[in-house]
Amino acid sequence: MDKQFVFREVEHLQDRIGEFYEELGAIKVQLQELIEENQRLFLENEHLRERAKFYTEEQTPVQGEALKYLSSLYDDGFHICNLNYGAMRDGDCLFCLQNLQSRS
Amino acid sequence: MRFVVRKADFLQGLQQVARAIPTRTPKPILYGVLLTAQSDQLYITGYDLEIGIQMHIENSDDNEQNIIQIEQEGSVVLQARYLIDIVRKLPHSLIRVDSQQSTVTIQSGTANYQLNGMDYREYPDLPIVHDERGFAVMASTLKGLIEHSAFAVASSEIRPTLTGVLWNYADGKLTLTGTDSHRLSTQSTQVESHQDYALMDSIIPGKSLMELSRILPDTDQLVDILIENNQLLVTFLNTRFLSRLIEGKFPDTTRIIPSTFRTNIVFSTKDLHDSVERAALLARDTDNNIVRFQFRRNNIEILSHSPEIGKVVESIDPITFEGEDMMIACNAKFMIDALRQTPTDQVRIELTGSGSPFVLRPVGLDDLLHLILPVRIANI
Repeated sequence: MDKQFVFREVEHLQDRIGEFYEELGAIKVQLQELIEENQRLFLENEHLRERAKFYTEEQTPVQGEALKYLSSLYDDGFHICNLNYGAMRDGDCLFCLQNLQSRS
Repeated sequence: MRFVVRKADFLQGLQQVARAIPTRTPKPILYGVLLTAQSDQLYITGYDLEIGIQMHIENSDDNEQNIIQIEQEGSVVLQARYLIDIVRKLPHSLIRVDSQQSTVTIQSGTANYQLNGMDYREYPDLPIVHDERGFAVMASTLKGLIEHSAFAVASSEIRPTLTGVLWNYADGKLTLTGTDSHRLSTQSTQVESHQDYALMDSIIPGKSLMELSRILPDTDQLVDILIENNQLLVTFLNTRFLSRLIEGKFPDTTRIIPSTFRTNIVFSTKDLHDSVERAALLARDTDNNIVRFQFRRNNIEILSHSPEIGKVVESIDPITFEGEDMMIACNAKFMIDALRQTPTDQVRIELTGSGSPFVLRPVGLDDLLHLILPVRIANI
């Protein structure tokens, strides 16, 4: 077998592996960019959704710490009306909602 | 005690009083009905400590025929269930009742019963309410007020005040309000009152009022109402109806009812009721019985779907439509209940938003209002 030939083949292979490596590096960079962009869009989308929800439900902006706590308590499924404060809620409650509205 | 009474009147009295006989009680004496013969009247009393019904039988002046004849005064308590069944089946139109110590003989035609009576001294006294005049309202009106408000009360005892109906009386106007915190129904009416009569806001158990509305006659006759000493007393014809009140504070409902609306639609009550009932067939099994309404100017649809069973869409034509398009979802049961208690042919639905309570009003009847809180849903 021609020793020279084998050597050239190996050299050729080495060059190609080098090219592959470079390509792989470029793809990796691209992938990273895509992931970053995706994450950014995801966050932006989430914020937009929150805003959109805000507009569709026409809630007035929550003001004050107390109200914030009350509304989060209500959203977690508890009554916040005088009648039954702190009890588990089954569906929406007229009195709780009125309570929230009158404070906002 | 000894008296002779006409069967028809005795049976009618017993059946009316039977509504106050408990089905289960730790005090066996309450299974009994108290019969008291006094001067020329027979009093029949049932009392389950919650509600009490007492009626008396007497001879009316314009009737030649004797309804009752008291031969000897006295009192006895007899098991209501047996007494009613016996009286119903007695062969003759006149009944003689004779009690010697605790044995009571009931005789009619050829039938002769001997019943073991109970000691009337063990029977609890009805609460004492002084019979001053409170206010008066027509029997049929009161019946309507009760039927239009009492169905909305809460069934669970978690919040006791919501199991009752709020009676508010101000400026000659009586208002009844029932709510279970998801829906609310209220109706008011002008009543004749004794001057300077003041009524505190009182909460009367919804169950008691249901019983009351069952025995109220459907006539224009005036019914006297008095709330005193933690008791409601309703007097009509020869009947006295007593109910205890619920103690506690009823939530303020005046601010819940919205005053401005963005959409206003008039429907035929019956058409809407039937459509919602059809949509509710599929909503039944899912929790909350959710039915969706798409109110659009050119097309109104009622939808319901249940993932396992299927879905239904029905369109319905409004009579008039004013305002913006709107979409809401609510418990079909609340909607059906409210429409059932809408006595007019047309009903107006007033909406402010998909998350805000909406109002149903009978067209042409301003003093009745049903309010329902929609269920919040994701836009689909």
